[in-house]
Amino acid sequence: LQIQQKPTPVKSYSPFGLKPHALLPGFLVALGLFAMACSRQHADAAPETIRVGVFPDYDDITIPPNIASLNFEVLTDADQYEASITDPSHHRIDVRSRSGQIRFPLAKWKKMLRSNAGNILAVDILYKNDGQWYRMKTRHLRVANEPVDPFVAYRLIEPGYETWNKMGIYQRNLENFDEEPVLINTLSDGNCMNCHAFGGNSTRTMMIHLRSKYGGTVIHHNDSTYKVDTRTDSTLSAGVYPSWHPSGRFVAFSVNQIVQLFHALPDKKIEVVDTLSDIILYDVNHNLVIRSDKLSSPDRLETMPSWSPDGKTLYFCSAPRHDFSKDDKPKYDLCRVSFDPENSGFGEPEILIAASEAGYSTSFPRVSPDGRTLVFCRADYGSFTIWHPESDLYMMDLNDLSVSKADINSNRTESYHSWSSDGRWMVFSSRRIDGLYTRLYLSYFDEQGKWHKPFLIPQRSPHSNRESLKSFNVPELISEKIPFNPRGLNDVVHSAAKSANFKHIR
Amino acid sequence: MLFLAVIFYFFRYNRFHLFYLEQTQLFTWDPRSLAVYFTAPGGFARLTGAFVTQFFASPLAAALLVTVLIFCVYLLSASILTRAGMHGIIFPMIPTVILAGLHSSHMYIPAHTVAWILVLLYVYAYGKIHLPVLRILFGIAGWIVLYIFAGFYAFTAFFILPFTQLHSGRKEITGIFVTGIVLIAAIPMLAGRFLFLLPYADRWLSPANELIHGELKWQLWSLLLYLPLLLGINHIRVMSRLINPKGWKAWLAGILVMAIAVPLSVKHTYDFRNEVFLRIDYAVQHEQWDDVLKQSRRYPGSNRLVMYYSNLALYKTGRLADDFFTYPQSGTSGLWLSWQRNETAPFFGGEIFYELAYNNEAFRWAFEAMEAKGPNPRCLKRLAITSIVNGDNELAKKYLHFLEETLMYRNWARHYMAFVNDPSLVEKDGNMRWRRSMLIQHDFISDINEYDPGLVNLLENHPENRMAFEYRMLTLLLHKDLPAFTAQIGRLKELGYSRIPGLFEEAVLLYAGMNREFQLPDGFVISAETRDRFRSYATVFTANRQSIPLAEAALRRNFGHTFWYYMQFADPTKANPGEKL
Repeated sequence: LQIQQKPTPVKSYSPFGLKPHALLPGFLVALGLFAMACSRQHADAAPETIRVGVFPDYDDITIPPNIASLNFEVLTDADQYEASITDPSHHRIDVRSRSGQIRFPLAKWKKMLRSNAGNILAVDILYKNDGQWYRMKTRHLRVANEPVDPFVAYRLIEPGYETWNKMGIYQRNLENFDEEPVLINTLSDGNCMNCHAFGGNSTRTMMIHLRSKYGGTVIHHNDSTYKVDTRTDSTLSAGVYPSWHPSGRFVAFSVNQIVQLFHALPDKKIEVVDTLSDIILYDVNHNLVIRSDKLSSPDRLETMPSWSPDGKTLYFCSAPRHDFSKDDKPKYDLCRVSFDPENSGFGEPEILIAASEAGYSTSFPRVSPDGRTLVFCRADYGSFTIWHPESDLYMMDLNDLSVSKADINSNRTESYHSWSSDGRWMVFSSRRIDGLYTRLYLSYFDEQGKWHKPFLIPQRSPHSNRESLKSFNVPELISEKIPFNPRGLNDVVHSAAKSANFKHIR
Repeated sequence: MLFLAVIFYFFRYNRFHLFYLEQTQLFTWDPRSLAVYFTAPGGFARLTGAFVTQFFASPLAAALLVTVLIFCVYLLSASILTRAGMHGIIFPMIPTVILAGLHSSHMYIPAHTVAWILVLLYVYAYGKIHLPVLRILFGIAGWIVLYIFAGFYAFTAFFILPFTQLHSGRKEITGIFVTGIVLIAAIPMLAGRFLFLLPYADRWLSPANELIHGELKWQLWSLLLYLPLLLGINHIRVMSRLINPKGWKAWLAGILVMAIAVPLSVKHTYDFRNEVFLRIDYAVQHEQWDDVLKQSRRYPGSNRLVMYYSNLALYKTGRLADDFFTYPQSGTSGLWLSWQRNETAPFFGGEIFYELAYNNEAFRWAFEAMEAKGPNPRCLKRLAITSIVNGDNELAKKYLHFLEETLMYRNWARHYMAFVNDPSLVEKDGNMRWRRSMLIQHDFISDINEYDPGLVNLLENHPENRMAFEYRMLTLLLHKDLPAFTAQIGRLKELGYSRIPGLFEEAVLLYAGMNREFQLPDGFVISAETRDRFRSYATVFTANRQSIPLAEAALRRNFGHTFWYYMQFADPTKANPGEKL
């Protein structure tokens, strides 16, 4: 704060016979004392008698040094609220509120985080009721040294059954609260869209799949953007679940015939079942769909392809064909197969987790960028575990193939997950708040291979995560902003899709 | 007088579709909900329309508010016409008659009238500004705001303005005309580029896109073109004399015009069938089951939605298995609605699952309906209750929170929020306790088909589910599956029946006649009256057995509502009558 004192041209009245400028230091001292009195957080505050919660739970978590301010809401009715965040050097940000919503000023927050990488910050919260201040338990935030990729892309949609209305692919800047649409279906006759994928966290190689009218896969690669139709007469469907090869030349897709079923039990709602599925390879450079016998066995369902970071291995899930209507609930093996990019050929598939032995089903395998850890979803059965409340995230050490449960699960669905480009962070979707609407959580994965307590990605308005009627689908961490918006992509979306050619290999 | 007459018209003849409008939208002060209105041109009109519509939960408020909107149009039209030298009440009455007609349809929402009022206000205000520079400024800037507020309707301002400014000289009229063309072409284009993410057509047509392509398009165009046409005709001297009669001629002309306009408008917009159906829907929502049955009788023709509701009411009044055939039926398609991905089936069709205590399916249909129609109180209430019953309290809280933000459902939401905050209250509430006790224990997959919407599985989970039993038994009868039907008849006692319901008696009697080994369940007898009727039926049939059509005709009058007649003459594969709303 700089105050410039101009010379006073006329003599003015001053109390105690002092000139106005002589009052300034005293004023500043008084102001300072007042500020200290306020920001000392009421030394007379009593410890809370009833444990009051905050939403989201931001206690004892590890956060990236570039994350937006962790705004939260104090879950008790009170006349006034105060919160402060203090670093080891006693720098502090104070916030007051009458609504219980604590929103830290973004600029101050960022400054504090920048200068505290590796440090622990303390969050003190007080509330006042009937003239008495109460102090809540001090919360702690550990600031990691490694920043998270600054953007996350996801689909926003009501977590519906068969009917949909408005939906879109959005990108959120994690360093602030900006959320921008990439593609929305109001511009394309309300069609369905999802299955966005990026080549190694980069938006320079990416795709978004559209269904119904204007159906096709929008591909952005080598600075050109176009729409292809990956359906062929020799494959089951257009590409569904994608994974970009690190070279950017291939996309491994599952092709599926999918049905939706609806449960009657209170804790179950939807079942998404493949009646048929294979894995195909799409060669972007040659606009060629390649179906290999190794990944399209007629008596098995292969799905959820995912490349290793070196591009030499494709991980996927596979189950025998089944008839769900006859209560035949399939369990999917976790498999891998070697890949030779030179001739687009696959080796012999290898089962890593045999579902019949393990007693559970696997889905959504994703390998860390260092190639050491594979995280997958484990559920009682099925491949689309997003609708399974028992779905949890598990990890496999790819050195010794040992499996352990990631310490980030809840008693509700944990499902789609995406690694950051440095492998230190993972975003995943979870229905842990209310059991239905997926929200995005971020977790730190340290060098010892330990997961830190996940935290809800902050929103400007802390309660919007509880109140929004939209779900966040398929979160993907990306290292730069997607260079499109719905207007820019409009022509591509409305263009005719280029039909892919087909090749069958043994 | 006229004001009161219009209120009476809407209160007496339109209350139920106005209630339906209220049921299909939600107004809250939540900033995110409000922001949604401004994602397309006409946002202010839609917002105000939604604000007004929330009060349609009260029939009197609905009638009063619609009348106020219509009279605003009347007053503004009168002011504009008076300034153009056209006095009297007949000319401004015509648009109010058209509007009253439009408001008589459930497809017309108040937002359109609000948008039209904004247009008339703009035209009126423009005429009030005398300083040319200010007028130009207001004309351009005001119109841009008008476009954002009223969307498509703003274009009509440029059709009216030149005719209201004829006294100003050719220069200004040319200016208005040219400016109008430029603004109409450029502003939506720019708005689409910088403000709204909309397809091209919607930049110009929102919020009237559906209306101008729908059944009400001619009425809408009549409303929009009336003023410019009238003002144009009035400008032609000969025509002006003709349309501005004096003295008794004026009265006569007025009476003639109204005599033609009012019936014409009502005939083309007021839909008696819809009003009756929506009255039935209203009665279902308020559990006025006798009224549902009364109104079903009034409904002209056949409609699957009406059958579905009347059968529900028959069950709720304990008459389903007695009087089923005394109401129009169409096989099992009148018992439940087929699943369809549209706005109608999920919105109305979930009722049966709620009554059957098929909780997940009730939740699903409400959820689908909310997807199709957008957030609305009926679906949110259903989602909240079914979530509480399922034990998903956090989920229920989300839906209740939305309702807490409304004026009309705040108290309802607070009542149910108590169940969330104190789950033990569920056990103290009869309805909630019963619903909780009927939760499914053994999973099954929803498969709604002609034979079964899940009744068999519901009965396997809860054999005591009397509604599922009665619907199941009727389904078997409608499919003429007497062996399966009679195999279940022994369950009457455990389900608390004191007698065999009429239709069941008829079926049992018929089956016993065909299969002499069949035994009635202990404690039940076939009434003498039913036996007598069966003998009469057999006598009439025997007398006409040489010709089936003859027998059918002879039996229809006295036995058309019996199971025997259905068994013998009805075709269960007959096409269903459709679900018209």
